[in-house]
Amino acid sequence: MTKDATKGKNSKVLLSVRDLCISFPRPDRSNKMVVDHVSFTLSEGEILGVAGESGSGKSMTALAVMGLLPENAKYEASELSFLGQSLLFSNRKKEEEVRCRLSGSEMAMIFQEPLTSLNPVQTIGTQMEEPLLLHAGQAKEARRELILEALASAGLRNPSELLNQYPHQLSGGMRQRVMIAMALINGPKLLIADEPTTALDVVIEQEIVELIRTLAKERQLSVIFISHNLNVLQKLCDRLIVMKDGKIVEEGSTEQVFSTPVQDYTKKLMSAVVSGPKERAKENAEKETKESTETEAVLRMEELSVIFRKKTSMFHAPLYKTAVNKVSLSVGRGEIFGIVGESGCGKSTLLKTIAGLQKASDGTLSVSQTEAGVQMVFQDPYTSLNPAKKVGWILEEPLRLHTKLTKQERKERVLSMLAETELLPEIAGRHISELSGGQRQRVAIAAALILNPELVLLDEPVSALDVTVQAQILALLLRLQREHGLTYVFVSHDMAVVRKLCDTVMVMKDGRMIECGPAEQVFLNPKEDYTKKLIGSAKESGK
Amino acid sequence: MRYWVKKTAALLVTLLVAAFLTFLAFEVIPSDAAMTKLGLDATEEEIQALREQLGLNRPLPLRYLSFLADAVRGDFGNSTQYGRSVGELLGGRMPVTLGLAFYSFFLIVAVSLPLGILSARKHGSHGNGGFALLTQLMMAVPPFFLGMILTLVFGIIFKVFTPGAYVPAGEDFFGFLGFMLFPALSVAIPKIGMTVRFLQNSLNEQLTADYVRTAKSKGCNRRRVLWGHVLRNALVPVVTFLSMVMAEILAGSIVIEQVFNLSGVGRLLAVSISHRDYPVVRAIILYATTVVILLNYLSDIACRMLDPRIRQI
Repeated sequence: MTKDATKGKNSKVLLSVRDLCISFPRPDRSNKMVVDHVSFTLSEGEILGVAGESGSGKSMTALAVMGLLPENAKYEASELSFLGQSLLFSNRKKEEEVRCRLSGSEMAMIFQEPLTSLNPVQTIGTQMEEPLLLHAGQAKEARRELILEALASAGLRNPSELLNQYPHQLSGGMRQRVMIAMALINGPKLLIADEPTTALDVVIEQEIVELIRTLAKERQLSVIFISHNLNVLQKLCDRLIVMKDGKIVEEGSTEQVFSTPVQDYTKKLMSAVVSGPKERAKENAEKETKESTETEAVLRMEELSVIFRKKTSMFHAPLYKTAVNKVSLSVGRGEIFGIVGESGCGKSTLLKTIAGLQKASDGTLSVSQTEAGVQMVFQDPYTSLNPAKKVGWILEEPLRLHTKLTKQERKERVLSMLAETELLPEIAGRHISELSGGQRQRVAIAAALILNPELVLLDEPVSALDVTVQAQILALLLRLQREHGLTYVFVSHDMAVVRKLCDTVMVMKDGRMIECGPAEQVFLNPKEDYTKKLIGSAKESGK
Repeated sequence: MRYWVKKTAALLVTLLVAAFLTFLAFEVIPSDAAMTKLGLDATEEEIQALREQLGLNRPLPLRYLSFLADAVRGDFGNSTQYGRSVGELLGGRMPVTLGLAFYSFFLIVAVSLPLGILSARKHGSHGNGGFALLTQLMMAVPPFFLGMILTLVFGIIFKVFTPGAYVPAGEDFFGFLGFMLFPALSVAIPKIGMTVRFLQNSLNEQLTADYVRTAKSKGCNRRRVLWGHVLRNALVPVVTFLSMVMAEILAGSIVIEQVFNLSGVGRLLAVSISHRDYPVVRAIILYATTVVILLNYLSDIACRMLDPRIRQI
């Protein structure tokens, strides 16, 4: 699978980093070291993968190479050279001058968020033209030709139409292609890609990775590809660096790192990705005995449709968009029901409808009513919890609204819930901003479960988290489900996660149910082409 | 194109509703124009006759329509206090208020934009504390106090201008500019403080946006990042803010006109309210609401031009 790793060794060194240290001042005047004596080299035409969880310093390393560190960051290195030129300066003015000359012409970067990385008020044409205006002096017609060519080589159709469009008119995948086209328009020698596919769907992720690989091969481009997704790295990279807490913990050819990981941390990272179907089967057998006794449906819907009215002029007939189209399903008590599909397929709308946050336009929906009703856990634990309140308050709120417990009882309930979600009691006194992503999602789960609901809706609960944290949260969800006999409806675009967790899987596309059945059956013998494609792209980026 | 039709239709409807509410407010006030005119000694027959003559006995919708028709023609009735037509009265006062408003607005824009941009560029370096203190002070000082201090220092001690010596712009333009500088400054300084703060925050927020990093990675230097990428994004909220400021100063500054003895719309309003000169008050209120509505319309258009994302809605 990996390409000849030795290829890079003989050719010229493009980038050399030695003893790079980056630190940020803390309020107490000490320094927080985020990158600690990192050294590596990159040869011409080589694709170097950098793996690690968020906070491991991989992005900071890349930003330092690109000269884009935040202004309060302090960095030093014994060597930082690119194309034989040192990028360490004592003079700020000189630094800006050299950086402005190299950036966008010899080295270029693409970022994680294609949504926000393009200027929202400029057309694609204007933004594509800028690197040409800054670094080369072509005539207007020649510039236009180059832009169209670059857009086309990034796999964008109708490039001439794109020129006058604004970023918000494009999809995420298209924006990332525009970013790639823009980065490569001046034919740089080095491309730094900082988690370029994390915000994208599996299918699109696959396409973008493929695009970068092809372009790199065609143009003898060196790439530093940063990702926490080891599957992607395994597929793409010649050589791999694994970072943890600002240090490089493992380095070697991709094959070598994957076949014989030396460090425990690397093994852990890898095991978090590769979920075993065997383990799944074992659990299934366990569950089957349980299911035969309990078959009562907690959730049932028939021919449910949700139709949105698109905002149009008052002089025109309204347009309608069918987000959910005649979906019927039934979820039994204690079942984990997975809904998969690409973004925009209507899975989140369906979930919101079940939760009562969205009105159904047609069809019937019945949810077994308990006092706690239906609870929901959202994708982004960073924004879905009130930042002004302490954790204790957030957890207590549902109790205050729905129960008649005394203050003391509520407090006890909060503490026991924290313990159940493996959080320390003192977390109750903290604000959300003081917690890590994993801790936040635990709080969100605790808040959802504190009223003892029967049905819990999980909307991509782990896709904003790191792989290792992901595995922990999934384990927690499974344990809680088993202990309390909960019913989950689990929405995700991550096929591996769904396979690991769910009993039944429903595949959705364009608002319709494409396929529905027991998880193993859907994964092993998918009936529909679309399901095969979804599983295929997950597999390719996976095992 | 459809957007413009819709937007303009909405503008007209809003204006009509505002005019109706203004009209209604003065209908509700317990006062009888005929009785006010004839005085307490008038007989019931005389009052009735005048009511009939003034059209006060017609039904409400009819009276609204005739009020509207008169207003469009610029006829707001006669001032009970001065005995002259309200249109004429306002026509005499308007140049002062408009002059003051545009003068101070010019000062606000001319001073705040460069200051805001400069302070945003210096963000993070030392010396911003003093600047923050300055803008804080500018915002905190009450305009009337500022006006009095300016009159005292420049008018009485240094004799740069003669307090109360207003020259119309038509007669002596530079004399007008010289005299109006101080009233305009009194209006502008607090607003400058606010606008600078607003622009600075908006710019600093935009400077941390992801597209700025992209611009740098393309090789833009600081100047180009600021002027080519950040400024237009940062201006969108500032335009809305400035339109609110403009509406406020166009409606006439009662306090500043009083302090500098300017006979503008603001002072006329104050005097008319205390004399229950309802036709004048009604006309000024109508003028102020129209100004606010029109400026909102204009700022919506400006934001739409600046930010393509708004065009989608």
